[in-house]
Amino acid sequence: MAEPAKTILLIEDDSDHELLTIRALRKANIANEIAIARDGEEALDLLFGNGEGALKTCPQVVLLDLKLPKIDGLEVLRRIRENERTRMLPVVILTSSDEESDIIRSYRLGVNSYIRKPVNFTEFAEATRQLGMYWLVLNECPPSNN
Amino acid sequence: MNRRRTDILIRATLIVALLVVCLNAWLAFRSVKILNDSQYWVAQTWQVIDTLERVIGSLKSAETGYRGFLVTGDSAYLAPYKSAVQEIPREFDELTSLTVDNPKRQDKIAAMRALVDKRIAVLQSAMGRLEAGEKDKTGLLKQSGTGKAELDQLRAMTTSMQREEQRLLVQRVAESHRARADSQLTILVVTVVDILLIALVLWLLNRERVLRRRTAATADRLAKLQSVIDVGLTKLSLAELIHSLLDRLGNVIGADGSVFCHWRDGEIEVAESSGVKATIGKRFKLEPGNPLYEAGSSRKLVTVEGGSAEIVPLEGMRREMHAILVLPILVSGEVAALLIAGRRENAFVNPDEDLLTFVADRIGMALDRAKIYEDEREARRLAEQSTAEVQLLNEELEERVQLRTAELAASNRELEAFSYSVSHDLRAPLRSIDGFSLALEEDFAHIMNAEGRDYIRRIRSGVQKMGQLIDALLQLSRITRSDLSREQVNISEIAADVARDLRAENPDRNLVFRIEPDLEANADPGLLRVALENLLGNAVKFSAHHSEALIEFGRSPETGEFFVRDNGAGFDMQYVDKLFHAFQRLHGERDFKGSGIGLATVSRVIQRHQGKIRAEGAVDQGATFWFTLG
Repeated sequence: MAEPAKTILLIEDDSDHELLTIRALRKANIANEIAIARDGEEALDLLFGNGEGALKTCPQVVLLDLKLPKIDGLEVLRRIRENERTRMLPVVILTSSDEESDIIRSYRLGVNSYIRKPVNFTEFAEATRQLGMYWLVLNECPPSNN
Repeated sequence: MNRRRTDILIRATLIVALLVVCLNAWLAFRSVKILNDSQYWVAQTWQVIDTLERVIGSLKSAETGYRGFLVTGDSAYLAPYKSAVQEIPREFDELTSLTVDNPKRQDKIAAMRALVDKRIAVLQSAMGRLEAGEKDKTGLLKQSGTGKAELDQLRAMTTSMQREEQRLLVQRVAESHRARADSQLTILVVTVVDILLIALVLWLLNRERVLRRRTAATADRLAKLQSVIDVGLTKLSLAELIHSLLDRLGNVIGADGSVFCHWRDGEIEVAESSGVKATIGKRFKLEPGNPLYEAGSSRKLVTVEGGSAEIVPLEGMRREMHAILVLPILVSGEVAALLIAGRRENAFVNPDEDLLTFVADRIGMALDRAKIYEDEREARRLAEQSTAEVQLLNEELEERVQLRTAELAASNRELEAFSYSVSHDLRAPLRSIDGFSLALEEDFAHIMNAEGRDYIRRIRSGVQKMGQLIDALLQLSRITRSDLSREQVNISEIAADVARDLRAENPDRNLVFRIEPDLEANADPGLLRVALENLLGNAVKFSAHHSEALIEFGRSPETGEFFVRDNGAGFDMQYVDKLFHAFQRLHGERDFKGSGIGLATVSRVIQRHQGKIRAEGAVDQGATFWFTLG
């Protein structure tokens, strides 16, 4: 599969944050295709569905918000880890919550990274840039990813 | 032992009496025999004398007949002669038989008989010669003689014998008299002795009977007593005791019916009845003069009968009983009850007062004991009841605690949801504001003047402040609901750690920390760190206007309180109460930045440790915060 085809799946219900996250990624020169899911159900459809909106290939990384309509982020994470196909998929939680319980539960479910979105957007942009660099450029995905 | 001796005595006396009776009989028999013997001898003597007279008469007749025939030859004289000759041997035989038991006499009689026989033989030979025709009558007469000598001799012998017999008779009569007198005396004495003996036996027997009866009565008394005492021993509940006592006491005093009443100051209350109708629980006020009142107030047994019994207030008793006995029963020296017993027909004759008094005492004791027992049981019941109540209350409390805990848990969950919401949802728009402000600045800075850019900077600054505020609120709420897990911690190390962070955060400040080393506390290290961060952070913040900030941490050796002291702006003590409340600030935002939540958080941490916190300070003199950790 060609390099640019590496997709980022962003699961985010807040359109402002969606826009700002995409802007931050682009500002960090990350040109990968970004698929958007606005709630948990949509995310699961994209990942496992057979419909026309479903992703043809597995994304390179999933950026997951915890607080989502319909099916919440932790449940989406659980489904991803349950499925043989997506078991090794890198998942990064991007959330406003710094609740200890959320962090613990996320790691228990096998999240790869947990990032609390700072209020200060400069900090957030920096975090996003590092994130993209790490997961998309530096990190070698396991071969079973596709 | 005594009774056996008495028995033996009675038997011995009876035997002696019997012997005496026998002796008496024998003596009487003997005296009668002596009398009889004497009389027999007397009669025999007279008979002997009489027979001798008859012998003499017969001999005379023979002499006369012989002589008549000799003289006259008339055969008419032969008849008396012949009958006399025939008579004489018979008479001698008679005499012999009469004197068979007296050889001396027999000898004499034999001599007399020989004399007579000799004369008769002379006469017989002369008669024979006559009949043969002897004519020499004179010669014959001469030859035969007159027989006077023989007669005289015979007479003399008879007289001697008579005299002898007379003497004997007198002697025998005297003997007989003496024997009779002796017998009479003996019989009299023996009879008297016998009567005395019989009297003794009778007395002994009577005494024995009385003893027996007394023993039986004592045994009966003891049995009755025992029956009453047994009740006191075995019945422990007051009601049971009274019931049994009534039954048995009825037996003891022979009552047909009885009523047991409690007594208090001239008032009675019926507690139990037996054999007679009485309303349990009914009360009567007694007047002086009433036998019940008298018994109760005098503490003595009272018996009444007939008309006097009519005053008894108990209807059943009054109507059915002829005689009534009232026995006061003392408990601990006070009359506590009356036992009223009645008899339908007879009076109570000589009631055994000693026994009844004793029984009353025992009943009193038993009642006392039963009462103590009941009191104790009641106390125990009450204790158990109150224990049960306490238990019930405890259960209720437990239930309420559980309910509250559940409510608290629910509210904690709500709070958690709220904090989650705060941390997530309140920050999200802030981030958008900040993000778009930055995007505006980055993308459109070229069409904005300096004022526009300043506005954007202020927007972003407000967003930062708001973010901090939200974080502080989150921390406060987290402290409130987090679990407290105490452990032994080196509080000085935590303070030093926090100081290090503060120095790093404020590189341009001249901060001097003076931390007393190795202070230990039993506390939650996480919460303690939050408290120290806030306290030391405040100290740093409020000493910002000083060129050199001196911040101390230590422990008072006197009170054991920890303290954080600074030489900063201090505060006015009149506002000290506001210090620990959230969003209360003593300094303007312009002077010192802050959320107004820091000290509230510290206070909450100390509260969670059951400790105390206080503050001392003066404007521009610095501030000291004292706290303990429970």
